[in-house]
Amino acid sequence: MTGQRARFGYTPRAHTIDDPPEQRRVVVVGAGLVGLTLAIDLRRQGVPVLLLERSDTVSVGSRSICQAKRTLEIWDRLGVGEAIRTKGITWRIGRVFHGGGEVFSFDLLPESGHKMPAFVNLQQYHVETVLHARFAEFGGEVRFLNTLSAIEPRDDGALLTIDTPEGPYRIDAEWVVSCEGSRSTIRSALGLGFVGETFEDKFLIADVKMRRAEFPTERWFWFNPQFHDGQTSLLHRQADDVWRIDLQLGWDADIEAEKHPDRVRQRIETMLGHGDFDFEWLSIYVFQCRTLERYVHGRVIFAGDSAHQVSPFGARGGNGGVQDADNLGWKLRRVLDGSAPPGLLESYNEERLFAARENILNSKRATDFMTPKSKTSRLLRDQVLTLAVHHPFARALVNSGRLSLPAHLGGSRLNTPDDAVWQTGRMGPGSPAADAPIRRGAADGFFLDVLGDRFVALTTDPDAPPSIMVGSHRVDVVVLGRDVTDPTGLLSERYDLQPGSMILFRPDQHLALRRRQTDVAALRAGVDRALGREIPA
Amino acid sequence: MTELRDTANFEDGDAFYAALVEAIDRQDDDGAVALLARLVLILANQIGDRAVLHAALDLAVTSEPRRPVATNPETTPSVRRS
Repeated sequence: MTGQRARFGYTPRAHTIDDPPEQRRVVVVGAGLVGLTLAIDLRRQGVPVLLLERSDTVSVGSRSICQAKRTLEIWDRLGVGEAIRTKGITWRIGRVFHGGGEVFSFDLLPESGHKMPAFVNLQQYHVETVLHARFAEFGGEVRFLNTLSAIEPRDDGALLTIDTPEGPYRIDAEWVVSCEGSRSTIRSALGLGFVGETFEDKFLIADVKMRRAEFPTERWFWFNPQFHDGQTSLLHRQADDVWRIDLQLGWDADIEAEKHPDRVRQRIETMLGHGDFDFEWLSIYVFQCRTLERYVHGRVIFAGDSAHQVSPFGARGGNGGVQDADNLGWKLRRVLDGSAPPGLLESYNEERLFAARENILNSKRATDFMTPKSKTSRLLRDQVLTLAVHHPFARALVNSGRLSLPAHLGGSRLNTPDDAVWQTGRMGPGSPAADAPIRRGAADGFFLDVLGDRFVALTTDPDAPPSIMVGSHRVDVVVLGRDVTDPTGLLSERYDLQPGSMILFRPDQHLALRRRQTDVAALRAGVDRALGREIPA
Repeated sequence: MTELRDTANFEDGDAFYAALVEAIDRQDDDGAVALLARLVLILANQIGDRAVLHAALDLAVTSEPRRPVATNPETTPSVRRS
């Protein structure tokens, strides 16, 4: 029933349970979106990383499809942004319906001058195939059919027991990152519980391959559609003429009856108006909005669904997880090579907990709007939809999923606070960097490509040195007008650049510090702070 | 405006109240609740200010007359702690 998926071979193990444990610096457990992204990021920075995967293939079934702009930017930094964009379906328009009529439509990226689009829809198995190929290009090692079955954490690492088709063996790892997904073995072994909620509403998810395409490349969301009375429905295009269909079934749905293919086919034929489709995937799910209270437990670190879970509405699961990996990669490398204090990893815990709580809040609010809990709250919701048809103010309240946006880490201890007022809207210290067109020599490009994955200071001061060293950390200084130009003016506008302005970016392309006058001493202090030197280990 | 007013601010309170009652009484119960809901949404947007809106909501909640506690099956939470 599933589409084409790559299958990987099992490599015979080099060790048995009777051998001394294999010594490894970093073991990433789980080769999903998050584990693969982190493993590539570590590997390309020269960190020896071993990736363990319990299956011998990419993800099965209906998983993430909406890859958000910030996620695409991260993958672009790793060298696969264009491959994923090209393979996927680019979209930016969402359309909301209520009953038989359209309420309104929205544009997720109304401004130009960004390299990556608001969203690309691509099935997780395709994304993972691209990521696997990239990891292999870096000589990365994935061990398939290697299932972690036990972990004994220590102060300076953890002893892992790995089951294989040939029997178990052990690995002694300095650092372990759990990217195992919602059913994490490591989380259970450490006895870590979640804080949050499980929602009782059941949803049916179907990925169908259309034999004729007649819907535009938009996200269509229905409240109370005539074809699915009293419930919500979602229709969203993926690559290869596969469409995601999500139907709310309610609290007390009979799962066995509802997931019978004849029943589902009948529902979807009513929705589409034809039966020219084949099922690629069909399942019924409930979801949770919950998080661990900490993501760093000594030498064991949690990322992605292993650490936190949200409802699918808003595409915040996969995207949030990839952003975890982005946040962790540069920090773990620097703690490993001793160039940053262990406290830097505490900032991963703080920053990504903040982001997860924001994702959970958004996800929970969307869920509450879609599935009102009482007759009166449903009536209130329906009045919002009624007003939204003709009155723009009410559209701000219509919530069919607040689609994934990266967190602004304004409260992070890695930030140096502003000492002046900047006209940059929401963007400030801790925010992900805004993209903008630039020109380098004769070549047109984008600003995020200039940032890459190291500390960069952008300045308008023509006398600034080409780089400065802060301890063993090199900060590349990019001078506007000398190293890059701003052909559209958007870079200067988005960052409110004035003569003398200086902005320091972290290796994960977040703002760390900005000053109205370029000041090398302030820059050095900002780098030190962004390396976590203010955070007690 | 940053604080919730506790003194009358109407230009003509009696006229507004009469018009509101007249509009509600033209509806059945569900229609009346829907009308009040739309009115709340329209007025909330007009106010805009987050602090004032939350203060108004708090005032409405805390001004509820005392009554026996009844369990309404329709408002049973559909979420559980995990």
